Amino acid sequence: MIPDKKSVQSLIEECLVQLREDLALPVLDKFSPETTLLGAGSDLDSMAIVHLIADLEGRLFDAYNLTWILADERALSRTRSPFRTVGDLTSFIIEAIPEA
Amino acid sequence: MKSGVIIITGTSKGIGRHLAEHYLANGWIVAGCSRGESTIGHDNYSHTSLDIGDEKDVTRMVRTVHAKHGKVDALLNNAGRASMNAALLTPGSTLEKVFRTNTFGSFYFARETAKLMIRQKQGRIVFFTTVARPLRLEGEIAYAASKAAVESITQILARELGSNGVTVNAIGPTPVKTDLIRGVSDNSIQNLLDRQAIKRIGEFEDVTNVVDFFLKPESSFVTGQIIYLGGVEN
Ligand SMILES: NC(=O)c1ccc[n+]([C@@H]2O[C@H](COP(=O)([O-])OP(=O)(O)OC[C@H]3O[C@@H](n4cnc5c(N)ncnc54)[C@H](OP(=O)(O)O)[C@@H]3O)[C@@H](O)[C@H]2O)c1
Repeated sequence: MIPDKKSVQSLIEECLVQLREDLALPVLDKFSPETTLLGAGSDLDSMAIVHLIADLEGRLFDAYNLTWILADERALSRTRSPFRTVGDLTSFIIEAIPEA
Repeated sequence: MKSGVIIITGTSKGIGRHLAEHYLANGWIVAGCSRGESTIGHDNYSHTSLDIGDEKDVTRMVRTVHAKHGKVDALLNNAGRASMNAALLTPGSTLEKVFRTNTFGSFYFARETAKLMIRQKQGRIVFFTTVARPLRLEGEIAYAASKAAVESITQILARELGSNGVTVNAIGPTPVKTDLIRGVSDNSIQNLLDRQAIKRIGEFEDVTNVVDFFLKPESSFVTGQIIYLGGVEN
């Protein structure tokens, strides 16, 4: 299966739902590419983002049998963090599809 | 001791092989690795041939083990290499090789298994250092420095993961008769033993005993600790 925007986004949604449940945070009333993950407008702290990324890498591996390392040089050197919104993260994952 | 799924690096020989056999005998599922082929035949053993300094290969191995077994309970970061050389005669390439395996390789394994362990809310990570580090052993600058970095990684990870049910500790063996110290003269070994409180060579069982202790469920309150064998202290 080739990772496309829609399927990647639904993996992110699964992770987010699980994470919010684990952290006893209120259920998101709307999930969209604009949903904020990191920074102003998000109730997730940096440890929560670590959990989210770890979980997401695992789910991406299970789904596509490819090993993303999301917190790589490319991600960390950007002026706009790829972890800011669901849309940013989706694009980054697609952009950074690892070689098999 | 409760058994589970354990990743042990450097299982083709020496201490790692002994550890793998020990945990297999105690009912664990063991995933091992080394650059070469497997030397262990057991139904509950799987082997990956990789260089632990390769970040991608390490990541793939850890995620594959997890996908297969659904969990990883423990990691023994045993694979390592030594280098003996006077500081002034140590080329940068030696430093790079030694750090790539001992420090970077161990870090990659720890990082990737810790990602799984924080989701499981439990896990045990054990790093391997050496008495050459606290003894500030002359002639082992690359090796001892790479293990000093390993000790820092152990202690910082212990703090970062402390609230997630994951413990991170290290064992520092004295000389144990393996290929790692084959090139060291009897005289040098004796000099080293003389600096220990208990002046004898280490046995595999001495190492296993400390690792067993770190892995015990009852050791959930023990983290960030470095235990040296033979009465060597910091
Ligand atoms: N023996 C001692 O006196 C002593 C004392 C203090 C601390 N230690 C520590 O204990 C640990 C084990 O040492 P040991 O004496 O058992 O060493 P050893 O007999 O030389 O075995 C090392 C193991 O690590 C593997 N390995 C080495 N480099 C690797 C790499 N880049 N990628 C994957 N696997 C690699 C080797 O397999 P391949 O060669 O096939 O890759 C082998 O299975 C080390 O961390 C060492 O620093 C040992």
